[in-house]
Amino acid sequence: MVMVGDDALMLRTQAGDRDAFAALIDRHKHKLVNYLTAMARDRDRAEEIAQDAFLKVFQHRDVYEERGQFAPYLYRIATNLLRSEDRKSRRREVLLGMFSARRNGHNGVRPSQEAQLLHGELCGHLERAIAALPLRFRSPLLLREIEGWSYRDIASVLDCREGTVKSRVHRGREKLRTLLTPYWNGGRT
Amino acid sequence: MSTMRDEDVGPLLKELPRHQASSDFTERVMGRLDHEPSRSRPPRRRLAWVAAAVLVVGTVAFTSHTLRQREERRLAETRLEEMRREYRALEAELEQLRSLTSDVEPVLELGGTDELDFIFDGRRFAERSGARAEPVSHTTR
Repeated sequence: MVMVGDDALMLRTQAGDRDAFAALIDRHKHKLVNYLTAMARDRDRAEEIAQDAFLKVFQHRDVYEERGQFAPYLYRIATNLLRSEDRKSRRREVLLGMFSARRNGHNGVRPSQEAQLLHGELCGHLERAIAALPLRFRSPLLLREIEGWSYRDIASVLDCREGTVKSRVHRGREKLRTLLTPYWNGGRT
Repeated sequence: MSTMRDEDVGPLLKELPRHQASSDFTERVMGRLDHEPSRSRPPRRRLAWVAAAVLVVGTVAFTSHTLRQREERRLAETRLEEMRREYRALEAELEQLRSLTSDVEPVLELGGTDELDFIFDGRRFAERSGARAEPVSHTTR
């Protein structure tokens, strides 16, 4: 079976072939949803953003240029969507916090989170630690460590230089290590 | 408890459970393509739209500027005409005043007694060459 490249599928999509676009979705959906879930810590939200990203790619299919960079292009759109959603929700949280701070007596940790902490599951700690990382470190670290992307492709997603990506991955690792050290048991899970 | 190193982070991240897209993910996206109209237009067509918009905005701005200039010029001309009229009126008034005072003799009555009047006749004074008024007292430097 001959594997058709992403660019070829995009060219066919530009020519009006919807099956080609469906094939592109099938090819990238799982990895994209996995990346976005790790980024957003919410699978449903990740799936919504992934759908929006594919939709955006389709809507702007005419401006896509064939450079063998479809995946970075798709992930850049998805990351930007997530970033803009994060900004919106942060603004909303600040506004809501101003009104609910007095009524809400607890310290911001939900009961389920407290229970998880008590269980001491490293996986839960890891997910929380990832979520606590600033987006500029989270995105390159996950693409590098989980998706196994090259620094060049990550640089293309984040629209920055390779050196910047390397530095951010390194600093992201450091930050995660600092956050996880209290729960570290020598790598035995 | 051993110390965690940076190298331990990568394998730990790879151990995270992998999440998959839902089974109807592709169908849902394709379904949304039908409902949401494409916002993308061919670049040339978009360029034509931008050019047309720039042309319209430019024309409106130019017309507005020209009209404003024309209005300002009209107001300035009206004001100038008013000033000319006012000048002509003042000139006529001045001429009238001159004609009224031309017949008056420059004669001053300085006082006097029952038998004698002291009168200053300006015309005679002006006729004498080299005549000039001298103050009662003055200091020469």
